Amino acid sequence: MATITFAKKDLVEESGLSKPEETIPKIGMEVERDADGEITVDITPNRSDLLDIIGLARQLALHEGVRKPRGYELSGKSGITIKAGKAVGKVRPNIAGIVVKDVSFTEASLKYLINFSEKIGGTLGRNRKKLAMGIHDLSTIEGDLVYDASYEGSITPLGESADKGFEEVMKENQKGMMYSNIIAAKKGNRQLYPFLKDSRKTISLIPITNSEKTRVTAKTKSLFIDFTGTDSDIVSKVADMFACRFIDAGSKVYSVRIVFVNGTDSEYPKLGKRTIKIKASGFDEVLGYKTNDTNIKKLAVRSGYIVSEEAKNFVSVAVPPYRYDVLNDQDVYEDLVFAYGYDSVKSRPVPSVNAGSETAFSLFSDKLTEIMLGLGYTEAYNNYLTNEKAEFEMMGREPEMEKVVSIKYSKTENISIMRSGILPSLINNLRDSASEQMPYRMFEIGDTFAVADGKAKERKTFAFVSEHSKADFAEAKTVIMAAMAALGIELGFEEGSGPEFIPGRCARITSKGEEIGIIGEVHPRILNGFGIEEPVVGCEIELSKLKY
Amino acid sequence: MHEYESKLLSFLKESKSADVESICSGTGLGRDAVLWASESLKSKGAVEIRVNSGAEIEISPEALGYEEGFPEQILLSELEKGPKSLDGSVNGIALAWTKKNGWADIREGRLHITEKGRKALTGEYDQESVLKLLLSKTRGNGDNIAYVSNAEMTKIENTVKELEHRKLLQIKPKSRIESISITDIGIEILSGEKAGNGIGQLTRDIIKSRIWTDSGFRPYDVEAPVAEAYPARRHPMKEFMELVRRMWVSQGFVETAGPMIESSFWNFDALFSPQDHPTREMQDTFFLSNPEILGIAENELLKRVARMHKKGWKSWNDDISFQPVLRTHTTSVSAHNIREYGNSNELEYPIKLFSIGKVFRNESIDYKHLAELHQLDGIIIGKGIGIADLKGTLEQFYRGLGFKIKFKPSYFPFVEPGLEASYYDEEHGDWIELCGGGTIRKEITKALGTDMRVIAWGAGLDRLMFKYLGISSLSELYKNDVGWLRKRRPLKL
Repeated sequence: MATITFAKKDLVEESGLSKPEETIPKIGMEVERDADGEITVDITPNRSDLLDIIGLARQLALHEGVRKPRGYELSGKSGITIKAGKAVGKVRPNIAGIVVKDVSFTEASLKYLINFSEKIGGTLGRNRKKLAMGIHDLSTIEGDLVYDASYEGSITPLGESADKGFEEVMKENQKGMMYSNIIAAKKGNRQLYPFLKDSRKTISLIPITNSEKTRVTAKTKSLFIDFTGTDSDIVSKVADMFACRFIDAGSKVYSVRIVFVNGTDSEYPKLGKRTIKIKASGFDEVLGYKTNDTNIKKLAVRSGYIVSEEAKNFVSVAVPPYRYDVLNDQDVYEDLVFAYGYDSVKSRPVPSVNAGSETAFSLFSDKLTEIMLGLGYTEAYNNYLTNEKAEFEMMGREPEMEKVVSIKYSKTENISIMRSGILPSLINNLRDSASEQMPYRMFEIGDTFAVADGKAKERKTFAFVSEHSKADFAEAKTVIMAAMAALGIELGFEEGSGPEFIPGRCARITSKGEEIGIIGEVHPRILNGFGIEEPVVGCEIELSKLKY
Repeated sequence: MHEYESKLLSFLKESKSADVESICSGTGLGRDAVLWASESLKSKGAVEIRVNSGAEIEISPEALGYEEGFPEQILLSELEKGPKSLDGSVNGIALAWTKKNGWADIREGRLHITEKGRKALTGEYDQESVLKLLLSKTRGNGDNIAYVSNAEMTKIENTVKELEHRKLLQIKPKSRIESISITDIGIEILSGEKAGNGIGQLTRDIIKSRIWTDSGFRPYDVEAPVAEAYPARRHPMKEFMELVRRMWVSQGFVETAGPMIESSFWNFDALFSPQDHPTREMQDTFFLSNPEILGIAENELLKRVARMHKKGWKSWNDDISFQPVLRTHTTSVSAHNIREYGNSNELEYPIKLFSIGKVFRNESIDYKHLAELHQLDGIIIGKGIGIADLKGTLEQFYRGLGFKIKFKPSYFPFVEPGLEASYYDEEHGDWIELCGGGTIRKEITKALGTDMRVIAWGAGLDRLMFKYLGISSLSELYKNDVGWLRKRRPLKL
């Protein structure tokens, strides 16, 4: 989730609500912090339009009924044309633009706008890949614009005074370094840089930086905004979203003409009109019972929808252009439920027509746990993620990596694979248990992992260890036989070996002729490695091979 | 208390006071046993022993031969018949004592009886009387030691000295038990009322011999420290998962399970998560390098899910769908369940299912973030079910865990509408999220092959352990240090 912070008085003023913090949870958002005159709000990823003070205030005011939904119309065409070139079509094909006039900023409202555009690029824009935007002072733009990509060029980056080559910006500018991975479109060894130019200068190195020459200040009265990215749908919808927020703020919005190389010629923003039909019965279906007297029209209005058609059993609603997230009627019903309020929804437990039950393994595992507790073994529960050192090296085992489930990338250094056995974890637990009263007896029932024939195997596994001055093979054998006998499972023991066990004191465990596990006295070489000073016996069997 | 002691005390309780001999015969104990027991009881204050000082007099074998008469007496009776000439036939010892006693005198070389001698013939001879007295004090049968108290000795002291001088006796000073009597403490101990004595460790012998019927039990210091012992215990997370499992089962839910190593298809795509969604990046999700690909067996299903994505998110790539991940939520199990139980002949609708298990997040680990977490997921598949049923189900479950919950709107890509349940935490003075849920989007249920409505919810379990177990760091939970597992506090729900 993304968070956004406003001065609380600004939100109060913008929304017309004296306590906006009380309404925020009702529209599905969360107040993360409300102190020192500031309010920080968590915005869910479907409502990026609310990362803006204008958008959030609008939704809060609608929900409380202090504002009615409005239509969003353009004031006309700006007369500006952007020609999109061929080269950029391969790396970042989509662009839209809007022109905004009659803008009046305060320092705060300008900051909110900049923050909003940054957050949109980070969230919905997927770190400026799908979408990035540039806000320019319209009065600094000269002539028509060209959107294209080239191997070289220059710009005066925001905050700097001199022209710099694109390559230099990528290497030296902070934003350049941050987003360099997005301009990954290399041809041969050369980098292709998307840019936006007017008749005299580069106004944007996309999606890195705007030109200092088109900088917007609190005194700026009119704006040109570009939206570019790899996702045409998002580019167009975000242009709509910004157009709406400026209209709400009392400015006038004009369209920009885009001409593509293939001849496509269209005006943005689209401010498209979509209507969705919703039914009273559909609302009842969502709740699970008949509400009868519920006025879905009222709920729709409080959610920001203009009701365009009203019939006996349904209403048609117009989806506001800033609502990029509304895919179909379900999304509208969700808004209606939010407006209705979860507290108003009845509560009704569902009758049980089937008997409740646990999985066969849960039942088996519980029985085995009970038996092991009875034998004096305490239950351990280790992580399934581990690393080669803990799993193989410490146990004197040679890893067969093709059989090991391996992680591609981990933020945590000691995580690289999924465990293939439990004993390494348990022996490590013994090491961590120093200076407690002996004996140490522990067991674990859990999963172990392997790869076989390119497929992942998840095996139910059981292991135990015992450490004390008299721990020996016979003790471990007694325990496994007792535990399994209590579950009706007969075991066989055959001479076995393993790098972690003392030769001649290790056995393979079988059940009905199939090998299911191993048991033995842990070799002092391994104990020395762990720094364990008393004898340890251990046993591990694969429960998946048993019938339970 | 030893059985000799208890026998002795019991005997004395009746007779109050007795000498050793009568105790021996009364209890059937040997003399040594009685002496040992009385000393032992005396040290506990249970009996008083009256001791008498005196002497032990050993009668010589020579004296034993005098039982029928001393040599001087034999000489005296011979003198009664007439004087005897002092030749070798007269016993020297007899001559000396006859003269010393004044029984005879020597005139003209012959020994004549005196007047005193004549009297002595009929009277008692003190040495003889004392010897007889002493003999009577021995126990007979060759035992030739007599005990004489100091009081008795004063009466016969001179004679005894004479006898000693004659080497007929050997005298050693000696004390002797006169009587043993029970004290008040002894009576109390016998009735088991007073601390310090009584049966200690109950033994097979004590139980079988029923000695316990007349001896008390020694009370123990019940406040004294004892050795520590540690019962084998469950791991707290497993214990909690088991509790949660039982609660769902008791609400009529069927437990299900699914894989942890999952294709992106089941973990994300089937749940309508856009293929370029930020959570699907390697920063947040564990992707696998082995195995490299997890295909989808059911081609029709794959196509339907692909269509759903193309329509909703305008993008789709099979390869992304086949990328294996460690499941990031147990909602993947719910996706499998919708596919499996969406058209069930086996169970009746509404079908209520749940699963509990591990989920994985590529996190930087700290006290409240772990790479492995635990979740529960539940769904109800049926007709005519909705948000009211979801509210009722969650309220019922959380009531069982002691939470009064409230609902607020929330967003999850796979539900519409979405909600979040939270409880008011007194300690933090804030509402804490417990669970998210909603109605599964129709696109999803349709792609997974059912016309039924599905309500679904999911909840993390780990955070609750802070509250239930009183721990300050989640990583404590999985260290498995024996000491911690033994001593950790019980779950406080």
